[in-house]
Amino acid sequence: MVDLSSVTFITPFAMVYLGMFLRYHSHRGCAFHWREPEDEKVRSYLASMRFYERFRFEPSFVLERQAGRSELSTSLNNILDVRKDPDSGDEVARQAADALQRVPARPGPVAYIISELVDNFVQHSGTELPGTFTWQWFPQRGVLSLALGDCGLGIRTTLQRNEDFAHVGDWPDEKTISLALEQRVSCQPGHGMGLTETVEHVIEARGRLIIASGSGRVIIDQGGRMAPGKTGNELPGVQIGIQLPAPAE
Amino acid sequence: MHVRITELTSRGLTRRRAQQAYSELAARDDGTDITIRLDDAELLSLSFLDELVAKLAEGGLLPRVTFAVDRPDYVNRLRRVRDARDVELFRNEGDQRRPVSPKSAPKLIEVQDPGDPGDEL
Repeated sequence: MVDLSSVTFITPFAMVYLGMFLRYHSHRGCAFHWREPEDEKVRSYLASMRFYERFRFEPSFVLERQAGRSELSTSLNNILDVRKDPDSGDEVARQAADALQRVPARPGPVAYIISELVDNFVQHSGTELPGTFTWQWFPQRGVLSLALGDCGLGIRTTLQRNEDFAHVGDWPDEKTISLALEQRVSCQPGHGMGLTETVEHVIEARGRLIIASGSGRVIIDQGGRMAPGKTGNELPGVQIGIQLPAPAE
Repeated sequence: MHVRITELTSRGLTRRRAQQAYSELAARDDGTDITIRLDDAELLSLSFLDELVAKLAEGGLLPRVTFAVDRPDYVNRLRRVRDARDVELFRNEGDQRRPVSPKSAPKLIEVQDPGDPGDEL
């Protein structure tokens, strides 16, 4: 049972995380009983973001929900599937940058961040299941929220491909995520700059970041403080949420 | 030889693009000193520059390369690559060829788990 009945607000990260949960378990043959949000705004938002199409709900259900769908000026109005194509990073960054012209976000850091995260998915996710990306602009708070996720191997298994990090096999996920944020920590020797740069962009923009993998997650705040913790769930792959405030006038 | 980075690649974000840029540069190499102008690129990521430097070093071209760069964000990224790769890099400062000084990555401070990340994330 996936029970969203009491949900009154859903962030891009939560939507991507839930989508990856559905995709991963559906792929393993699980069926879900879906209890819809009672809040009409949340139901309508999920339809606007094409959540039901993207995560393969029954066609009749999708059609019914799409009937009331509206385009939002503050949103990508979609959850993009990201395929393992070598140019995906560039392509998704370009699509997002085009759509982001409608909102006062910082185009530079956003393009870097999206390109890096998508490229990480292409290089390291180790799954043929597509990843997903979306964003939402919150005008009242002046915040752009980005989310990207996959349900691939996850950080710990991926890092172990590099013999320098073979020892992380019995580490808690949150400890492995913290390690992966350090420079030159990657499954490929000589790589491991991109996630570090992503974090730097987020801190520089006084944003926040959450990165989840397995049962762990790490939150990084505006001051560069890093808080490792548990998600309360076990989901393979990597799911990332980033919040960037609008630049000061 | 003087070359603009935009002549070597249309995008400067991924390692793959850096590998393509390097291949293009190596094909043009005439054995003389190489100046690569970076500033006209719209976006150059740390991963891109790191990979480009790695390839230049691997191919033996790096000692002949000077980066022509004034954009502070690109200079900072070159400094980060200098630090991470521990290789000598040079850039133009006016008419002078000067070594790029290293700059280390910022350190994250580990704090206690705040519990629920809240509805912002």
